[in-house]
Amino acid sequence: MESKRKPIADAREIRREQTLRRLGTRDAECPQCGERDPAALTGVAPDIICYGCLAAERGQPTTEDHHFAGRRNDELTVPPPANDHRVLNDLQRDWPERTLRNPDGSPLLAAAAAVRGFLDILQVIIERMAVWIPAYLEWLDEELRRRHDDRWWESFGWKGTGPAR
Amino acid sequence: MTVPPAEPLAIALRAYVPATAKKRRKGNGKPRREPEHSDWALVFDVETTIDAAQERRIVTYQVRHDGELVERGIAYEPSALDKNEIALLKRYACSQGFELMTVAEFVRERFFPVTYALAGRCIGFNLPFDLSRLAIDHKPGRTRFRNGFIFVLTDDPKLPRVRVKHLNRHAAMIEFTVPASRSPEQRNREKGGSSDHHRGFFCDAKTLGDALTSGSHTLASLAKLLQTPTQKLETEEHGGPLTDKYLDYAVTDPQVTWECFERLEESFDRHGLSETRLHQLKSEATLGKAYLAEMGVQPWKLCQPGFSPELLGAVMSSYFGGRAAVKRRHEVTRVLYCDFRAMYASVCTLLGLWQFVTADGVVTRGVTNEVRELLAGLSLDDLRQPSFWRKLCVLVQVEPDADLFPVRADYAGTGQPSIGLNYLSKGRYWFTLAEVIASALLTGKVPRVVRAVRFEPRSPQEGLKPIDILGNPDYRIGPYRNDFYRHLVDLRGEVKRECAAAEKAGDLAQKDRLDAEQKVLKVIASATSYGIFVELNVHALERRGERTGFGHAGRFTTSPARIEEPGKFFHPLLGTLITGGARLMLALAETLAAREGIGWAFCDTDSMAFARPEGMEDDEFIRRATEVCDWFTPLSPYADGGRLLETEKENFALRDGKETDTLEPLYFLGISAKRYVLFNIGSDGKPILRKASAHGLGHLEQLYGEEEAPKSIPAPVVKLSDVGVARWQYDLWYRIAEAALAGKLRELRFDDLPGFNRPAMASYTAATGHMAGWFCAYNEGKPYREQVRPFGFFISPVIASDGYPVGVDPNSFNLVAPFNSDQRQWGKLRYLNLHDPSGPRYPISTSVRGAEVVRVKSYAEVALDYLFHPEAKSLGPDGEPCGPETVGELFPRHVEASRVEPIGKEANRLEEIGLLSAEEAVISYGSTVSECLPTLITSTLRDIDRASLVRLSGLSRRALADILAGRAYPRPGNLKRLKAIAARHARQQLRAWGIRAVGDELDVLEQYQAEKAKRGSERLCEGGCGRQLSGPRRRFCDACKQRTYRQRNGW
Repeated sequence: MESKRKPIADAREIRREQTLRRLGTRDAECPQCGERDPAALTGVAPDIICYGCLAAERGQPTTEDHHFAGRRNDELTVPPPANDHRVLNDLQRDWPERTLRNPDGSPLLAAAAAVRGFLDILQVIIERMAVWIPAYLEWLDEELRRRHDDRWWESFGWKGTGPAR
Repeated sequence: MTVPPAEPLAIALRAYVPATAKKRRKGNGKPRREPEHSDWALVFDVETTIDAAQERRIVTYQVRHDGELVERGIAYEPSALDKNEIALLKRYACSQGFELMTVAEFVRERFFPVTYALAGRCIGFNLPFDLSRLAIDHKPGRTRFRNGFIFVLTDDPKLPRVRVKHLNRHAAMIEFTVPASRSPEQRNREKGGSSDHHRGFFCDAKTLGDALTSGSHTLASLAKLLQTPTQKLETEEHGGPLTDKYLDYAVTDPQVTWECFERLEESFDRHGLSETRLHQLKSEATLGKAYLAEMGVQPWKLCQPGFSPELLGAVMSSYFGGRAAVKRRHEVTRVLYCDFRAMYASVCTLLGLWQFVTADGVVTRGVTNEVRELLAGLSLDDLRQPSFWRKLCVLVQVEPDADLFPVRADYAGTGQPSIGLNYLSKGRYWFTLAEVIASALLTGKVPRVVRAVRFEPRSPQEGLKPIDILGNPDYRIGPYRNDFYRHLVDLRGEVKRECAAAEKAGDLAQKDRLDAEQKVLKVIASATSYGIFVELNVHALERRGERTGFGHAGRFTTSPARIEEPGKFFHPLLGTLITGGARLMLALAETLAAREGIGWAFCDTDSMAFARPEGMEDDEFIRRATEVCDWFTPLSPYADGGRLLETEKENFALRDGKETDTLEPLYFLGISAKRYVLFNIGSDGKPILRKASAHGLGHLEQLYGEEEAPKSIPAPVVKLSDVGVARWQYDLWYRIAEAALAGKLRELRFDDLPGFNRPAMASYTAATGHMAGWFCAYNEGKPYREQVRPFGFFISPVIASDGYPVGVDPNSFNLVAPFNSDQRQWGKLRYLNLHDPSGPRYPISTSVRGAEVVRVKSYAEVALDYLFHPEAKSLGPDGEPCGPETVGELFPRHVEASRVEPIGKEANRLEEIGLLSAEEAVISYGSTVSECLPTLITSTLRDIDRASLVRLSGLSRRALADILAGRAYPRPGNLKRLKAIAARHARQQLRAWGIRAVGDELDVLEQYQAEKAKRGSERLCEGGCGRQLSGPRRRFCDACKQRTYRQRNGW
């Protein structure tokens, strides 16, 4: 019986915990590139490595073909980096089973899968490629204030933004 | 001191029966990875009904992530609440922002997701009880969890069950099983530990609190001790209709539990033990072991697996534990109560035992002549030299002849052996050199030494690491450089001084911090200095099989039902040397007191109360007792040079409930070992209790708390926790002390105390499969939730000796009934006999006995029995064994070992004490054991004509000669036959003497030997006529000889 109550943690969080246990440590990190997403890591502590670095070590391509709508819905693939591919695969496990497998080949389910695949890619872009940018800019502002002064941009000859203060 | 006449008595000695080697875990050879818990935690508490079933009503819980509260909620059992209560719950949950669900939903949507899927910690207080209340069914535990339980929490086969095995009243092993839905391959892989499966992370705040604070706590007392921001609320509404107030109480519990857990985790983290996880902490001993593991100390049993098991048997036979005795009984005695500073740690340092702990084994050396010389030239001054104590790591085999040694025997005839320092004669036994010296000091004569073996540490283990105690570099201990025990006690002394200075300076935060630190140091010192070396865990065996054991006289065979598995740092040599050293300390105090012309009233492991002789001035008494204390000061191994034997706080006057620096006369009244009270006498002549014992009363249900206490008895001046008893026990002791002061101990009655006329009721928890099994018949036909289930409570009345119904065997008659909190109902319940659970139910009465009515003791009767409990291991002033009415000074008995029984752990199955027969509580290896051979069987076999013996036994003449001379050891089958032959002979002889033989073979042999000793050297005709024979080689009288000759030849 499906409960209407909000689960205490989503399935992705649970999978993350299981992966961490498989990796044998709660501080899992690729020693070569610093990758920290458990879905992109393999091995057992202390010999942990990410899929990207593993492929590079083996002389294999560092991008992999990803069936963004699921293998059963569309043969179309995109070539994300190996680590992102693992994360995208992990996200696909949250899709409804019928959408991912689409046993009857329903075009509506295939369309739903394509949209879900597209959203997953956007999520990965946001989470893994863009989410660090604002935090980095905030850190940089703090650093420049410390090194110069509170209006550090003036020493670079730049103008401040917004209405004149 | 005159030695009393010897009395034959069977004595018991500890023996070593190796456990079967554990199967090696299959795997790839890599060390097993310990799974780690996640940042999630579930804290929960179950509120139940207060009837027999203790059915769950509501569960209050908190889900936390990284310590932050994620969700609070209440789960309810719909069948246990009415419509109004559920409506109230809904309103309450809505107004307070709580999630509300049923218990089944809680288990499915909160318990398993957090504790299993997310590998979070499961936190509770007394978790076994709470988990048992969540269960919808249970099954018996298997293998490691034998006698434990497997709880089924859900029907979902993909989810695991929870298995629980009760260890003691502080701890239990709790873990998830591998879910049944897994394929066999998966299950095998997961059991092997190479996958992501985990067994759960169950943290019982009670276990952690008890281990880290060296106490036994309730949630309220733990929260108070740890000064958590939220304290447990009180309620009287258990079992009543739900109210807002009761819900406030219920939802506070998980919060208090969490806060306690946080404090305990902080405290554990301060130890900086990287090798041990918090959820693995089961006791103080775990902490001690963790410290040794942290330093890289390898257990002795791994360093020296080939150590001679015969010698190990001898070592075990010399182990007796601490000494507890009472010298003055039923007499108010003025005492000075003193205590050895960190007794076991001090003995460890004096004997240099840290070197043994860190050595990669021990070597032995025969030192018989050396020891004989040492004993011959021994003086008290030698014992005052710390360097002399280093020579005491010696085990001595002695042939005692009225020497004072610890003797373990069933003095009271109850089947439960107790240990008394008594005169021992006959046989050969192993004791530590310290005990031999103690005997020499107390008797004034040196025991006859047969053999002595010195133990020396081998070279230190390699790769030991220094550790920072409490993570503080100032508290660094180097295993090669420092004596761990001395350093710990020194550190504690330093911290205590700083703590006192901080208190004086008004820096309360600093004072609290330092006080916590000194307590932790105390815990570490006690955790590492004794118990871990004699840790033996008892397991029931699935199949009885013949095993070889090792005892004081070598090897023997036995088929025990239970086996003792040594703990990780098992090193019985250290255990026996430590307790032997402590016994020597007490013997020294006793000798010195006698030299100073003062007496002693009682001693208990590390403390002794000196007694003022009649007519001596108080100042003079104190001066002399202080002289005794000062004698020990040069032995103090500690840097501050303080006293080793210190006066206890109870000797000092109280002001506003706190001790001052002024001595106040302290009085003692003792009943038997560990049953005593210490008190001052107020200006009105009434006692002011300072310390009392709950020993022998602790299993009884509390009659009342402080609020309901009778007005006629003044409230305690010091905190009850400092006195050491509950309020009703305090009142009992007060009455005893008051009557003793008035000289009216014999007329004392307790009937006027509230509730003392009710049936005395012991309460138990059905913590083992064996105990839960008693209620199978009671549970039959009842739905699961209404049954008496594992970890539920039950009560058992104390049956009067004349109260058994007609025709029942008192040895197999114990009454129990499901728990009932209403004391007024106890007399109206019907009780079942746990030995015949499906049999009739018995009514009880404290006054009358009928065909079916069982007369049970009231609290007043139990209190009187307690007061007149005989100290059977001692003799009274009249030279007779101490009886109920004995008053005055007690003396040692004189035991002549009629037989020696090898036994295992005595303090065993403690949770069932009172319900088990005494024999069941002790692991006995004796029934088939040859240790009895030298003393009982051989001496009887020698009375039989050798030719007949050869014929009857089927053994050769030479083999028999070797066995009887102790040169050879019979095989089990032969031993059995010899025992039977000896017993048959003994029976025949007893019959010839006109005595009826009773009991089993060993009893008959014992009876025969006793009778033979009584009759001196007389030899009787084997023809059965009972005539005395004249010559030493004659077997028959003339008449019988002729008659036999005629019969044989058919005349």
